[in-house]
Amino acid sequence: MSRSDRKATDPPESVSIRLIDLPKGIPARVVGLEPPNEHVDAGELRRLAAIGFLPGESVRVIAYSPLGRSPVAVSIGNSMFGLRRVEAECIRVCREPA
Amino acid sequence: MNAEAASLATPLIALVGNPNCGKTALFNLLTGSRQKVANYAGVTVERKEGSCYTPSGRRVRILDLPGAYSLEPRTPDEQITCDTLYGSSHLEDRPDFVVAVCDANNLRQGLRLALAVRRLGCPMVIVLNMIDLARKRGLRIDVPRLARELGVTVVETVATRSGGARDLTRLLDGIAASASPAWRAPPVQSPADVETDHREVQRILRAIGADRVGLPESTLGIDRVVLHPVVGPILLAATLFLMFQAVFAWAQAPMTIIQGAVAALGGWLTQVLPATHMRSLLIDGVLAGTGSVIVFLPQIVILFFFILLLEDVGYLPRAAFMLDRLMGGVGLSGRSFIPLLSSFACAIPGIMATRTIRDPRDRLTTIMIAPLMTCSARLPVYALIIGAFIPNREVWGGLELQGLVLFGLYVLGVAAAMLVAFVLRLPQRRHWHPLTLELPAYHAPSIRSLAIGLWHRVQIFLTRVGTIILSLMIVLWFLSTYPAPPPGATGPAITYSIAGHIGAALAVVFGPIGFNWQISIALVPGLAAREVAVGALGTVYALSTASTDVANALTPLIGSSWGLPTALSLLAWYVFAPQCLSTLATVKRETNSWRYPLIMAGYLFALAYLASFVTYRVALAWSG
Repeated sequence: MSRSDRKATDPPESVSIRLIDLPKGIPARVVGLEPPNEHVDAGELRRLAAIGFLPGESVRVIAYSPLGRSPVAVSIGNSMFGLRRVEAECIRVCREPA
Repeated sequence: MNAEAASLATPLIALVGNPNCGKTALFNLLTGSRQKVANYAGVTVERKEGSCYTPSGRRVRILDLPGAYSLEPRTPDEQITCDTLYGSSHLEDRPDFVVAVCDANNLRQGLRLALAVRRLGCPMVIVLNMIDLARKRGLRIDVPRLARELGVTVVETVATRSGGARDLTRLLDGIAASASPAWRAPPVQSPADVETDHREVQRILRAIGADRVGLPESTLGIDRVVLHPVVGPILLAATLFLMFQAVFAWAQAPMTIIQGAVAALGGWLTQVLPATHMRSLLIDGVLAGTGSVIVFLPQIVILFFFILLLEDVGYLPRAAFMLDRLMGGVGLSGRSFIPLLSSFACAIPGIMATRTIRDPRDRLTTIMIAPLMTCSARLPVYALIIGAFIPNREVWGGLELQGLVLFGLYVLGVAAAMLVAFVLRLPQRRHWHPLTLELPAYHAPSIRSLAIGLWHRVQIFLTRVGTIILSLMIVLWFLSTYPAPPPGATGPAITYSIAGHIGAALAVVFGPIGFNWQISIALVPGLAAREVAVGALGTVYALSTASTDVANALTPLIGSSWGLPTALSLLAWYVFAPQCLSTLATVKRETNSWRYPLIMAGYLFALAYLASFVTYRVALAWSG
């Protein structure tokens, strides 16, 4: 998925943040995925979509690793996944209105 | 086989579902003990098939396809599932009917896969599993509405309760009666699009009023403690400590009973059989050899009980999550934790469990270090040497010196593994690849699945004892007995035998690290399985002394004939030595090449020799 593939309906960049920057416990929704990079290829991005990181799904940071911000445990839809920093940087989210 | 031929006529039902949806528990409930677990030819994916009798007595074949998140495969497991469903697999017949299993608590994930399956156009039913947990949470799923929206029959199951799949088996009854051959033609494949399925799932969930469901509160509550940055690691350390404590403490009683039984059987055989070569073969070869191995069954059962239990309730993935950063430091990932933990019981299931590691380099590194985890087969050797050479006294704080040495050997293995992993991954250390590790909702363990899982492990172990170990003990007995000493010979009989000559030759190689010829002989059959070395020492000493009760006499015997440096050197050897042909064979199968088992054997031998050499020389210098 390249940057030009992103949909016109996406909210402006200023509203969405990377999942890695989402504070713990704050409810948010997935906006979309970043383009592939050197750590996460297109296949891995499709995998993130397959496990539920899809536009509109509710997402929340549950816990961090005892030794820092990676990996991070996030709830997505009805499931929970442990993601490393490189993955959590690929997911764009926006905070739910309080 | 007639049953095989008949099975072609019985309908093949495939279970498809996400990992952690309770699919295997459902498979166990449907098939009970009528299971065949094997590997797909050429690939390292487990194939599970069983048979199930419907309420009217018809037989259907049930195939438990590997768990998948989507029909866009990312792992060899998912590839099998996908190919089978598309009918393009040369390993598997196309199923006649598909049961798409969804966790009723996780409909989003489950329905996305079910929709992808529905697109294939095969006859199917959707199963809402763990419906009891969903009800307990207060989820009301409008099943008729869901079925209408999907255009597919939907039934509810509770895979952990006997009779919990009655609706499903009743439905399968109809399938068995009228297996439709219509679906043999390849289906029209519309392009898979996860976003389209996602929108459809969102629409359906809104329609049945389940769109605001999140994770179970209980899971979130438990994780506030289990994944807590301070409490979590303490809990993990305590869990692992208790687990290993139990392996040693709980196993004591059954091990004593087994030992007693073996000794009693030996005594009885000595009395009833005439003193012939046959009696010697039975008692010194077969009984002493296999008996010294089978005694470890209780420890293996206890260790696997904990591993299976922790996995079933959902704790092991959390442990992997917490350890990911630590293991990432040496280039591994948290996913390596579960295979390495299993390797404490035996490296073979550990190496097979590396299939869950998606990154091929991670997987290979994990395979390469798995034999460094102290497997239960090393215990007999450790126990023997520690019992003979380490004084049984308390050091500070009520800790026992013997236990402390044993713990030290475990730590040494882990430290060596981390070091090896670090060196293997040096070239690509800065690269962090994705983890995507599911942390499933907690649930109570299924006793049935636990029992079936344990039974599989026991079967594997006993088969090994009954085949490889038994035959080696017999071969060793022959090698150690023939040729018989010439008339008027003065030395122990074994020195004139083939084994005596092999041992004498090997002693030249192992001399510098302090091994005598008896140890050198014992190392040869020990190649097949480490624990055999103790039995082999028993056989060697049995045939080189007059004593008949060797199993019990071995400890004082080696205590008086070996020096402490030799004993320590042998301990160091066993931390590293790749003395297990079955492990190497498993590595060959799992990596599909001779390269890695050869590299593994080479590096482990080199490490073992080096470690023993250093240990022996230092101990010699120390003691005088």
